[in-house]
Amino acid sequence: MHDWQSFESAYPLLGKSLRMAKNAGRLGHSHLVVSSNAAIRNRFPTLLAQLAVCLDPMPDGAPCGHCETCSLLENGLYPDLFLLAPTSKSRQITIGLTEDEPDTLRNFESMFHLSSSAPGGWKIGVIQDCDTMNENAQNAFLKTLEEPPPRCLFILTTGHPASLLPTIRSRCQILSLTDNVCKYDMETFSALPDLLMKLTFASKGDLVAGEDCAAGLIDVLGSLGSMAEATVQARWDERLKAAENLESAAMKLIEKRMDGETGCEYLRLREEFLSILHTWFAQVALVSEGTPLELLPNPEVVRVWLDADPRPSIPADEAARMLGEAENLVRVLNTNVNDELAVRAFALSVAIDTGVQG
Amino acid sequence: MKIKISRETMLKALQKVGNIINTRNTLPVLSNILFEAADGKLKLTGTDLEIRMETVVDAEVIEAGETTLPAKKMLTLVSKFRGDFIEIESGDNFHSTIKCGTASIMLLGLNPADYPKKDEVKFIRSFSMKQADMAVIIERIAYAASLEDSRKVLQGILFSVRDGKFTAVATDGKRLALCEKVFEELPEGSEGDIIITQKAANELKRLLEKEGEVAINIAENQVVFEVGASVITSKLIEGNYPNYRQVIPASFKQTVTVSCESVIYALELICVTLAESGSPKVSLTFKSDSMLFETNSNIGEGRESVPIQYDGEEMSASFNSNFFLDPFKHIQVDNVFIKVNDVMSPIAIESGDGFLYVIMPMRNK
Repeated sequence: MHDWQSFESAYPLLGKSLRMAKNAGRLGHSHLVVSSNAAIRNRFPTLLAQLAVCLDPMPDGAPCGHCETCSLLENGLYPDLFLLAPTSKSRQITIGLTEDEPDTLRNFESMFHLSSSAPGGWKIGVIQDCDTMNENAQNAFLKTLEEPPPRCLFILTTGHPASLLPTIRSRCQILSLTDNVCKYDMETFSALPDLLMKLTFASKGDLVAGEDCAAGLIDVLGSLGSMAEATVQARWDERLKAAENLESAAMKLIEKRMDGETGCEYLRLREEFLSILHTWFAQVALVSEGTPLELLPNPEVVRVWLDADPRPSIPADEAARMLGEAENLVRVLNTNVNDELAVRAFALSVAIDTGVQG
Repeated sequence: MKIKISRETMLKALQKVGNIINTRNTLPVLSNILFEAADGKLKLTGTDLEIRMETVVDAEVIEAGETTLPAKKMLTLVSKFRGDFIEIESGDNFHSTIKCGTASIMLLGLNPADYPKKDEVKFIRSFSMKQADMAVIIERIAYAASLEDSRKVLQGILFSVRDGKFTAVATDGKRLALCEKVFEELPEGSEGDIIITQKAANELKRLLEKEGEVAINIAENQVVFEVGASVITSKLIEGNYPNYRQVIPASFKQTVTVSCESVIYALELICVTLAESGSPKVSLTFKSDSMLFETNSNIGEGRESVPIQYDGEEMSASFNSNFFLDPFKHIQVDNVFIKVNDVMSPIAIESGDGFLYVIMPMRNK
């Protein structure tokens, strides 16, 4: 989704409605973007802001993508674009004690009462993962959301709209950008398919093989923390170089933001790890039940298995049992249990049918 | 860039510009001051994206150019140097060598191309007034603006030009301070209202001197104050200022004249000493020959009176002591007029030269 046209080809009805609303001067002042895809949640606010503030829109209302405001928004240089995202380790957006406290709702809100120096005079506020606002922060934001200062556009993004107060949801126009298919980054998790292949088709009744797979899965899970750290470090490298001379207060703030971002990245990677694991067993079960290969929603996850010659197979009831174990693992790993123990118990249960689940 | 400049001139310029630099800013270039040298002048610029301040000073420009250097470090260095002249030479990678006397310091700078550019603004109206008058106006009213209020307009100061009169107003909803100044000459089309931020007002006040004029140029979204060789560009607070004239009573039954110094003495004596925390309530009783201040707290109780001439019925009202004291501390005159109606109505404090302060009494339980 690089520009408005590619967005509209993916979501034709929504794209057309927004364009028409813009052309009729009825574009809302607050939008709630709902999507389970983090990439869409990051990208779409820029496109929506371009639609709202483009200085030279197309006759059908679409943003041109290359006027001064579109370029500034695209490059993150728009002077009145204010971002709020969870930065603390607790992954919460708090209300803040004063307006001077950075990364808090009060600080964010105070930006919108000053005049805009941007071309066109619009002020854009984006709250990423707004479900991480605590209840106090959400309540404090209600009044501004309902009656914003003139020429303000608020874009809130979330993957969990049910976690928001109904009063926040009802004050926003909800834009649902849900995907039928979840895309996985298999390059990051390149070790996973081989481990799952071995666990599914070469560990039956073999405790040693099951334990080997468990150790491999635990390694992948254990490396997520350092992967998250490396990703965030790479993102911040350039800025840190330039920040070497900053005052200690500003450096502390940057370190706090990096910590928060690392925490968010770790949670995202862990969620993706569990989702890939579950998708593997779900698709093996589908094929075992007789689903044609071309109908698989995520063939990239089971590519190793699909390309194997000869392709191993297991009975449908065995595949269903393994899927049950995988679902159970996802459930217990979302509670407060020891990751290592849970993964080991899962791998051994897949290898040896104990007849007991959980 | 290579320049030679008097240490004193540089220090004054850095003090003017360096104050608005926000040390908690995470955009590194905003911790720096932009130095631009050309044609025998050095321009220093500082900004926090809300306010931008520029000041121009004379300097011997050996080689024209520009660089940015950390504001706080520069200020510390220049104030500690012992020589009379400073030489700044910026080389590759925007690193600069600063020499003064026998000392030589190298500071790491940042690319001046990354410094926020000045917006091109089109002024829609302009007027000017004496710097001394503007300084008195800000001093007399700025404290009354709200520090924390969901109504953001109350966190600013209203500058209004109507009917040949300049009016500045600040209020936090509990008290209101107003200062008026009649223009002798006013350019056509100057009428209108703006709400400036407290930070802009404070920075402007720091620049103002006893002589000279301040030019106030208003654009659609910004205000530009020109004070001598310095320019402040500030964003405005958006919104409509409440109709402050409504809270000023049309007439008063009694007027008393009181000495500022004696009121400050009386209030500080009994309230500061007996305050547990915050500002205690003070009861004010108007008697025929005196104005009696009384307060009590868990620490004790106290009373002090100030001589006045009062012809009305004896009456007593309570006020927040700090709110009552503030105008006396900032008004800069010897005597003021206190105007009253009754115990439930607001009272007014006037200086007789355009200053008016209105405060609501507190309800006794």
